[in-house]
Amino acid sequence: MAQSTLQNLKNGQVFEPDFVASLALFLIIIGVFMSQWNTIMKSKTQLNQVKEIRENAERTTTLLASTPGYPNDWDKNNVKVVIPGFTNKNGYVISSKLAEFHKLTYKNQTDLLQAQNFYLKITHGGEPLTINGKKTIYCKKSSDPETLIPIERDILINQSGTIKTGKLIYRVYTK
Amino acid sequence: MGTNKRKGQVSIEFLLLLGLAMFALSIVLGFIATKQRKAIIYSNTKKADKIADDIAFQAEMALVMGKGYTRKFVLPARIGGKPYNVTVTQQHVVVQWKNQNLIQPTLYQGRELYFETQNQYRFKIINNGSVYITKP
Repeated sequence: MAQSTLQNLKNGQVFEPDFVASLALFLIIIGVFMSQWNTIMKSKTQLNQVKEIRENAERTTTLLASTPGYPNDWDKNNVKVVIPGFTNKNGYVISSKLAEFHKLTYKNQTDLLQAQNFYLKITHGGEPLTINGKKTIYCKKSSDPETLIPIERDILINQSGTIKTGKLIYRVYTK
Repeated sequence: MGTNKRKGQVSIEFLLLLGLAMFALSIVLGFIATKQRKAIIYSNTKKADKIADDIAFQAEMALVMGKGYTRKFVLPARIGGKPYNVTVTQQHVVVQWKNQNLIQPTLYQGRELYFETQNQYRFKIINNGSVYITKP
């Protein structure tokens, strides 16, 4: 009887190779699922970060290229700029505000633009506009940028009463 | 008698297998539920983030454009199925929903702005010397 019991136990399948194989297969499938899930979530997070930086950059360029900033006369002496904007009330970019922005420290510029690594340039005819002998290029570039987000806006520049067409080029670098 | 023992062995094996299967399934379901919860929290946070960015921009534009500026805008009615409220203070936008909140920086400086989406998702921002957010 004991021998027949032992034989019957040997017919049991709990610890047979096919059970172990099915368990291993199950764990592999779960592992693949987990890996896929993590990869998808990671790529979605990265895409959202880039999208968010682009939206912020577009808002910044709208404020710079289309509004006078706040206070509107922040290019005057002893007026602290709260929101940067390079235009006058007629929508022309004016050189006094570009010159005033040049005077700000780098930290002030990054705080106002809410971007750590950026490149901002005003061009006319493809060349950087020059005001008081200085080129209108403001930048702090990362030495090893990971992602570049370029935004360009067409603008009208009022320089000493002369109206010129130009571009506002704004680039944000991540990392 | 030997046949009865084989039947008894089969039922034990079946119960053991069923128990193992339920155990494995409970681990998998627990894992999936955790991941799903994180995904929902992330989705709600991204939604609140976008709302805060929109409000920050609306407030900044109203400030720079000056007196007489009005603009209507639309926001998502709910976050995570619940209404939410937004407060714009000096240089911060705070979005609160359920028992969570999100804070975003803004360049807006001025009167504190507050609104809820309880029965409303269309709003109007006005600058009549000070910036206000009202129903359209």
